[in-house]
Amino acid sequence: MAPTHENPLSKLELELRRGALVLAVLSQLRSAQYGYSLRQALAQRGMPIEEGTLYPLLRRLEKQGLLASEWRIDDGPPRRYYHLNDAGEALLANLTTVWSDLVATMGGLLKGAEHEPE
Amino acid sequence: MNPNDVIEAYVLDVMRRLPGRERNGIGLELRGLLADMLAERAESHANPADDALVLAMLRDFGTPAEVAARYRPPGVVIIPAEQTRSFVLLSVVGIVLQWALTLPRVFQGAPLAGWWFSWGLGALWWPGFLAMLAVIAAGIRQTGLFKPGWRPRVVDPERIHRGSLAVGLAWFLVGAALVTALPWIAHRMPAPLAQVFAFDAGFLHTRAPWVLPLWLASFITLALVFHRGRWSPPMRWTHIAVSMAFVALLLWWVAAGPIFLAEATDKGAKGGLELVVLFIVIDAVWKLYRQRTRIRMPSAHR
Repeated sequence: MAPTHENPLSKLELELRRGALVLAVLSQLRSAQYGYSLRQALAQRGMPIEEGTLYPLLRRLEKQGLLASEWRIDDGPPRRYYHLNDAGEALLANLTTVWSDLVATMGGLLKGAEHEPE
Repeated sequence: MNPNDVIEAYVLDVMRRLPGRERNGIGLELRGLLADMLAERAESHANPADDALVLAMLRDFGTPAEVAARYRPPGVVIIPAEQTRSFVLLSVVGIVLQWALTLPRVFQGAPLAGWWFSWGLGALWWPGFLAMLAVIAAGIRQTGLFKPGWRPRVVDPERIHRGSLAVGLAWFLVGAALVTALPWIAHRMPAPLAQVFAFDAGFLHTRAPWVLPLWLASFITLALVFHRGRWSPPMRWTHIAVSMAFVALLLWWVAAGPIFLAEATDKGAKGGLELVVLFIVIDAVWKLYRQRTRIRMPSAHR
């Protein structure tokens, strides 16, 4: 196949972010949030995510038994609030450990690459 | 139009594409999300939400079909990516072969429209058949019962089994002698059979003799392979070239006029020859494919 000459940076960055998305979402659901407020919370912390991606992800995580949800009708329109259940809390703890190990490993690899003789 | 009505119509369009059980929950949530998004956009534009703004937002969000697709789990893969090329190749080769075998009738005077609505379109049964096989295979994969493991097939694919090839060469000689003697045998058959299997004189004089050099070339190639005990690349290519010459000859036999005088025998024989052509081509394509799949050393100049 002929090599493409597109700049791959944005695509690869997107893939990296996509890999961390579930962990980012779970981390913000210790307290109940509805989709739009969750999106804003993530964006404010430097993890913007498209609404079209976030909402299906929330439903998938709920189907997988990691989130609980409830409808709340206060003074505004009805909103579905999601929060971690026990399985979600346990998964978040495990994923956090995996993430920390990964960050340490990558840090070591990248540091090694910087100092490697040519 | 009220922007809320536009959002409502859009959400209904998405909901129609969703599974019934989840439809209402997703629709309600989506409507709330779009209302929030619209409010945010209106605030950032410092304008009240109008039709243009809501339409631009919905266009950015995606078509209802795209949005509904995001909520669906990834479907079952019918044709895995690594099989797509083979599937397309097999489909196209199958269709082209059927057309190649049936189109000569048009050149013999059959109407083109008649061919197109029978054999032409009819050839499309083949990709449909392959697709059905792929569906069955996908179903079997889904069950997870059969997980094929890799096993080496042949350690040296170029080595031949001398015993099998010797039997093959013996049958080759017997078959060639029998076919060569067919006109003579047919001539000596009892009365009705002699007419049924009588050859066309033009075929015997002009088209039939060409088979002899091809048989000879094929026999010599196989005999050399037998002698050496293995295939070499030039032998493979010679064999494929002779096979292609056979295909050309058989197609000429089928297309250029009668082989037998009796029409029914002629049709039956040509049908058989068309099948032979099909098998030779499939065999040659398979051999070419095997030739291609080798481990080669990288070029030094890259």
